[in-house]
Amino acid sequence: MNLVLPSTWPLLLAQEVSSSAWLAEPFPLLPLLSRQMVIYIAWLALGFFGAFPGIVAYMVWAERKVAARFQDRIGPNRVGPLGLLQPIADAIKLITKESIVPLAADKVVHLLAPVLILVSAFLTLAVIPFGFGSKEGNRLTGFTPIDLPSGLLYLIAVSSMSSLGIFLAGWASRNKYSLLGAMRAVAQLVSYEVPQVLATIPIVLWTGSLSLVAILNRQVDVDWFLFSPPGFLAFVLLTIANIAEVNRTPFDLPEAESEIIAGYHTEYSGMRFGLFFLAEYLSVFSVSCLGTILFLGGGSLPFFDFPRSMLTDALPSFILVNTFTTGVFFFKVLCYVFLMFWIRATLPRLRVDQLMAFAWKTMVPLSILNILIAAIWQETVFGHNLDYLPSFTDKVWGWLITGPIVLVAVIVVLKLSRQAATSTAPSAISARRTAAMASR
Amino acid sequence: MIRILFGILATLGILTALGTVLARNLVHAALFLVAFFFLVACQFVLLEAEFMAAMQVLVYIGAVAIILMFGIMLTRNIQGDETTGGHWVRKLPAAAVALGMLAVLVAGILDEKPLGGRPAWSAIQARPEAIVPSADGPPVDARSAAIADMSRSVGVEMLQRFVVPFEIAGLLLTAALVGAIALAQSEEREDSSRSGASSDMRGGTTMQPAPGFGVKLAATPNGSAAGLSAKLHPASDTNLS
Repeated sequence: MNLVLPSTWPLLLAQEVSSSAWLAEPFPLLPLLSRQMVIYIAWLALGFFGAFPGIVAYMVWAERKVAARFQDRIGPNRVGPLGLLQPIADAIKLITKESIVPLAADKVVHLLAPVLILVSAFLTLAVIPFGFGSKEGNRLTGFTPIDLPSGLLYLIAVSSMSSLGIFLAGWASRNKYSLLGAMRAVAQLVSYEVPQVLATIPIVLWTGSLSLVAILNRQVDVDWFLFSPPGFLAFVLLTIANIAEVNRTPFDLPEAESEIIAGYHTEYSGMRFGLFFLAEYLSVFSVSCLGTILFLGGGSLPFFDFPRSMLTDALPSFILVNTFTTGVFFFKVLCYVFLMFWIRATLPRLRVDQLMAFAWKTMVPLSILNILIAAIWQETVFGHNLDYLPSFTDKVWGWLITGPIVLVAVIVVLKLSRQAATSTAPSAISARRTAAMASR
Repeated sequence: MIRILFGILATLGILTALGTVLARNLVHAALFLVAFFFLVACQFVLLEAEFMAAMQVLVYIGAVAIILMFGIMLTRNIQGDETTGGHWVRKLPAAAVALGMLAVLVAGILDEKPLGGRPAWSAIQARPEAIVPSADGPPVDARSAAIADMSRSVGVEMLQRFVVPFEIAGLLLTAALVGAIALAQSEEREDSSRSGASSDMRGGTTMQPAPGFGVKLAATPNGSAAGLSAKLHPASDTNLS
């Protein structure tokens, strides 16, 4: 040991840290567990049992504070400084409350439903690259629990499981309002899943892969996908669909208190209700992570190669860069979450028919058109070779060609859908009215 | 390790399949079916086909199971006390169809014609080794490359070798979609006083909330119950195609 000079220790650590050794070599102290398994267990223990529930608890606090500011109030300020201990008090209250199961309810399914929703919300976080990870050649491995080759598809698949849980919650409660809420929720989730998936297709087209780490790498190479007309349109579509997917205002018909008391979780109390609460905020967090990783470049900075160029094989550089990129990532997620709070505090609730018409007559046509525009952007800017990095003039040409097309597409689709709404709705209502008169 | 996992998953799969058939409550049966779909997805993961696993979850749990649930909600008696029983003579055609289906499947599997010069699956004794992630650069052989980028290989196969079946399936789904919309439209036109839709949907004796559902959906100004069911189909179409 004493032969090792102080200046060479980064190299030794680099050998230790370089990912091939991580993956292949068994961990020296625990011969039964491979290094990869230790990393998985650390992710589970620290991330999924520690950090993410904590983030969710303080998201609730942040939302109450933000909403209070919007309404010229102060918000929670009694428990701890600035009300910072409020989430803990709420959690204790929820855990100690009695868990009431209705007599007519289906006991097993009644318990299973919130668990299913929570599991689906947790599983989505398993593929998100929070930071840059280490470097292989010029490719980042991503600071992620697991890098699936088809991670985007996995994410959409597990998040679609939550509609089943909501449905079961509404059915198992044997309550009219619960079932109504569940029906509304499933109709809404299934409808808005279509534009949500269609809005991610430009990203897959530009990256040539479904892996979220590959998407991160591509955005570090070329700029964020947000900085293109089709990318911006896709980001807006994805954000709207995301808000609808997590049942938040203005799309909170499934849990509209004034119409159907609270929808599918009317008959839940105590920690079972707490699971719904946790799942809702957890899915807000995970869709914000999705929007960040798809369009806002994950943990990267715009226009700079800075964090990646600093990343070497040395352990201090690894730790510093990952702390920095993870911090940038969470800052972006925070902005995205704030946007959702802002929309919730500002906009009123939609009607059912408006909701459906907006999904099928505006969002779906726009996102299908956007895929075509994204193909034009791919042809003019990115070319066919994934190694080709577009120059500034390429991007200017891309903006000049696709920008007007996006504008025209948005105006035409909005105008057509509005025309359809104004031309059919009154005539249908008047037809029904005359029919009702005739039957009388 | 993988053998033990396979054994556990296969046993659970058979148990949930039995549960699907034997459960008296239709929603419980559907839930067993969902569990079975999930276990099939787990088997795909064991076979290193995680793209197929994600597809299985997306299509079967995310879309098919939901539509199944909606179908169950609209049936008369979800407890399955009277309607699912009956005289054994009535069950004969169903048994014949099921056994015939089984016979066709077994015959088809045993009479497999291998594709592209590969040996038949029954001739293969050893399982190929699991993929070890290569330290740097692309995966080593064609098989690992296909596994690491399965979405691309599935897409290429779909649009080259299997393009005709793929397009025919898409055409079939489009026809089903148009048919569903046509059915929903004609229903809406018939019941101008809206009494038909809600009386169709009522009728559940044990299921209390069903009337509320029918009344509420029929009362929405533009969508109505028929519109809702028509709108559910495009989603499944998108997922499948």
